Amino acid sequence: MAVLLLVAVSGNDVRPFLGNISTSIFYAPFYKLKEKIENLQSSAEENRALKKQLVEMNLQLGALQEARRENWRLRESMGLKPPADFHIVPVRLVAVIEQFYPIGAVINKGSDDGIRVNQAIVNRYGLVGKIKETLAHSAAVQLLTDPGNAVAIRVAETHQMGTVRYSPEKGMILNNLPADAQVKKGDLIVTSGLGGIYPAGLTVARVDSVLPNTGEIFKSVRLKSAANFSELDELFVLTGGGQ
Amino acid sequence: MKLVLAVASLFLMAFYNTLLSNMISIYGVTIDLAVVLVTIAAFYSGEAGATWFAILIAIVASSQRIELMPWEIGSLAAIAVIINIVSFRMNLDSLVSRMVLMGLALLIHGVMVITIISFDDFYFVLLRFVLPGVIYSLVLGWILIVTGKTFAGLGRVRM
Repeated sequence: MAVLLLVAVSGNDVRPFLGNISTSIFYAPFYKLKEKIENLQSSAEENRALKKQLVEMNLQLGALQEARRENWRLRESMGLKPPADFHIVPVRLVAVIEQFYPIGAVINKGSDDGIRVNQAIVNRYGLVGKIKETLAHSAAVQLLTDPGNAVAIRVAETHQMGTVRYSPEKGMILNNLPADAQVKKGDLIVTSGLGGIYPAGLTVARVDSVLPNTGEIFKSVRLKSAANFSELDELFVLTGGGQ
Repeated sequence: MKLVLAVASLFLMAFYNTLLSNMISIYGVTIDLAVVLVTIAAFYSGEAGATWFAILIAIVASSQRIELMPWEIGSLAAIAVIINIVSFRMNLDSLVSRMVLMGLALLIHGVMVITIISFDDFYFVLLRFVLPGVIYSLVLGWILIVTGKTFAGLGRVRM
């Protein structure tokens, strides 16, 4: 009997069949257990990393708060208006509006929660978009991937200004940057604060590639957005700031 | 009781392959649990029972590498039959003789596996992984035989 089984198993059809039966009966519970353990391990690692990041951020926050106080004192002494003060409101994603790729979203807080049109919306990586419409308990978000949503930006390292717009064909593109502008791969792109919608200094993207200059007056720069628009989870609306 | 133990052993084999193997390996040296379980079954069960148990253990052990399935079934069934015959006919009851039989079975199975997988550096794999694996597996086998009163309690009742 055992020899017959051995002969049968030598064929190519019997082995996968026996393997599948064995896997579904004996391995399946342990695969689930293994998956849960791995999830737990990755959560623990993420937790450790986030705690470390929190400590670093707290240190940076302390330094920045001191710098802000100094900035206010200097502005007061020069007779300038103090900078806008923002608050963050955590919101949950309810729906994503797609046209082959995500261009808009709906969040679970609206005008009753202090959400107003044109307020910036960010996640932990950077700028995501702005509030387009509000209802009492929900709001529509226009993502940066909407071709109609242009953002006034500057290159963080050089302070050169331009605008960022998403193109379905080319991806995120930095426009209106002079041809002689010094910009290289990896440079950080942040909001400039011009235009009155987005506050200055929000991370937008990093330079992905600088296309060769073809004699035009503006440089073509391709960007890699800071936020991954296919994996939006925790979002925050920047309220206040005189809006 | 024997059936429960046999089914529990099959689950243990799957658990070992899925999770335990990596957790208890020492510098890449792992226990050949399939041979340890089959050898113990061969010591305490009848020839037919031990052979069927070996076949089932071989199917479960190789279901993640089905190309090895015929080899595993053949080698583990042969180990079960030979050890059963040797231990019963020669009346080998002492712990030392059982450990020697188990060690030989582990060595033969290890050599068979590296021959089939055809590692380039046969002797390196033999010295670095197989021989330490035999010793590591023997430790587990010794613990199971000495402390496993459940196995011993089965006596020599043939399946």
